[in-house]
Amino acid sequence: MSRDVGDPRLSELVEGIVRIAGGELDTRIKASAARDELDAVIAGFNLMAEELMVAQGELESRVKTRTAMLMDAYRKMELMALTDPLTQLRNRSALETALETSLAETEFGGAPALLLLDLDSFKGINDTLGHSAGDAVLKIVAERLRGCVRKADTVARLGGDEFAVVLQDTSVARAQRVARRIITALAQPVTVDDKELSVGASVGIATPRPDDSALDLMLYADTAMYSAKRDPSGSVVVFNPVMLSVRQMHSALAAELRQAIERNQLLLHHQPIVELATGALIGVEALVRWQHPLRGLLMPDEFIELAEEIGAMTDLTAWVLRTALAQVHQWRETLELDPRFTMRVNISATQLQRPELLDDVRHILATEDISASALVLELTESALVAGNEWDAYSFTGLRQLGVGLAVDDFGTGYSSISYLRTLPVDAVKLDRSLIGSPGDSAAQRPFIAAILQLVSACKLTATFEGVETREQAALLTDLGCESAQGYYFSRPVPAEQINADLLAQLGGTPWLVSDPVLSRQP
Amino acid sequence: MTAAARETGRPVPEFPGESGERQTCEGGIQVWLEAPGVMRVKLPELAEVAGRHAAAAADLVRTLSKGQTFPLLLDLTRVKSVSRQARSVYGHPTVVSAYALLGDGPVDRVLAHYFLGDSPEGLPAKFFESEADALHWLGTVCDEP
Repeated sequence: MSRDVGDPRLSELVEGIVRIAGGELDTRIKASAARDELDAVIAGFNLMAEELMVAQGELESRVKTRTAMLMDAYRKMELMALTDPLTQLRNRSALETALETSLAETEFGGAPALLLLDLDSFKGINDTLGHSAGDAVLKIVAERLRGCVRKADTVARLGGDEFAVVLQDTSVARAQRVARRIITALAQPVTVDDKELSVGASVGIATPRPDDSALDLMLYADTAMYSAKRDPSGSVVVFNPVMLSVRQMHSALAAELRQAIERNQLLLHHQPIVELATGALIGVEALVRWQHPLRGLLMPDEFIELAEEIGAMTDLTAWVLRTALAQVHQWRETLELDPRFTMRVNISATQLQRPELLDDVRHILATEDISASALVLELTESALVAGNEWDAYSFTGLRQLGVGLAVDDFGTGYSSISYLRTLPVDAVKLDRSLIGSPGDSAAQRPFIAAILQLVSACKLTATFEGVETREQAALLTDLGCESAQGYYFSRPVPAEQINADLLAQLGGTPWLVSDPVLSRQP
Repeated sequence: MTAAARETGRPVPEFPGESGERQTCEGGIQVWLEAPGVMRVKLPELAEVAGRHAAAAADLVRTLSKGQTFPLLLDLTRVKSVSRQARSVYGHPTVVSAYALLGDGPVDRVLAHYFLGDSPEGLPAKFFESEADALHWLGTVCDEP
């Protein structure tokens, strides 16, 4: 193969091309004075190299600009993904990340403390003042929380009225101090829509044990907060492993309760309500029981709150209404019931909040073929006092339907006696505490007489609960109380024990037999 | 420009130029408006024309044209190099109606074709190795309706 080495410009061109291929785009070749074809190629080479360099420069600059734009967009998106839009606090996902980072740096940065807090009665603010007021409160809470911690700490809103704070390198004692500071800050009055509100909170504190994950710590803090919510004496609770087992039991019970209705584990007991003057059985109060396969018969106070928590109250209420009214239907076929006989069913405040309650009641009455007047719903005094427009909707609808309404446990709440006049009810159930202990009925006489007079003045009928002795029954009869309920007449009993024998026994009005002690009273 | 005017070499009465006198700007570039209405730009031989030189020449072209458009003859015969920035200055359709490049030999041809590649779309532009051919072409192109 021959090699032309005649013109050095050719070698320079080859070298130049090699350098360009190696990325040296600033390579230029000197042309000769000849200005011949080879110089023309050199001129073309130089021009193309320049074009290439410019094009690459533009490309690099464009890539740089686009990358910067992308990074900027990414940062904005990341911020959005990690921020709670309402309060501009971090969100749950950001909190978990912050917590994971803190835990990973525990060895040289010190262990973090996690505070979880939940506002007390926030739902009430939302329900009574509306969601925009609720949102305003959440924003104020967020601001106050930020003011209680250092810059390096993380404050997050986990959703609803639940917040969390990660305190970097913080001991339990210090975390407790911060928690109390938070409680104090939140307790300062909040003005929303010209209304002054007070915000309470329950705080759970957890610090990590070796090898705890962010999720472990969140579970601990949540468990402590759960405990704080139930502990009336403390709004700040530090996690203790015992709480976890209590909560696990609670969770297990919650899961079982969900299935209890479909597995027919619920049953009703009925406690007679007796007309004192005649001994007529004028009603029964339906009381729900849970026949738990392992724990035996559970009373409502062991599971009603749980049902509320897990959202099972609607189903439970519907079951009670259906079963109770079906029972009335059955008794009417087998017993000679007083025409005034009513089935009394307790209804919770949360159920009154449901606009569907009215339809449920109407539907069940129709299905069981029972007139509305045979049903009385009993509501606690506190449910009535804290009422809002939904309650009012339910009250009005139920009354229009013909369903009776009664205040339950009157005398245990905080409302004034004068409030009785304004209550949208027909009857009052007076709490057992008003009648005093069985031994001092006689001493209570003026007090009970005054209460009964008051109830009567409000044009309401009175039923006394918790009557345990003949003396109490006789006293109430003597004072003109219309009806009563209590162990003296009958304990809550299964449906089959509401029978002809019981009717006969009550009809005998043994409390009306003259008593030498009572007859001496004025 | 008409063929008759080119043949006689007489100035056109409404000719707006400055009398055809050559003006030299930075970098030695000469600019003049030649009867009967061709803008002439001559790059100095063996010069390395940079952006600022070209910009100075372009300013002069704009001054001489007084808001009118003219065909432009750019003579780059034996120029050493023309930078990219300098190339981008030429061929603005607001001042120039057609664009002839004049050179001699393969190097000029290559350089000229880089000018042609940069000239705006729609502006008539062509390389010549004869001044007469270039002037004739400019006359033809500018007489087209």
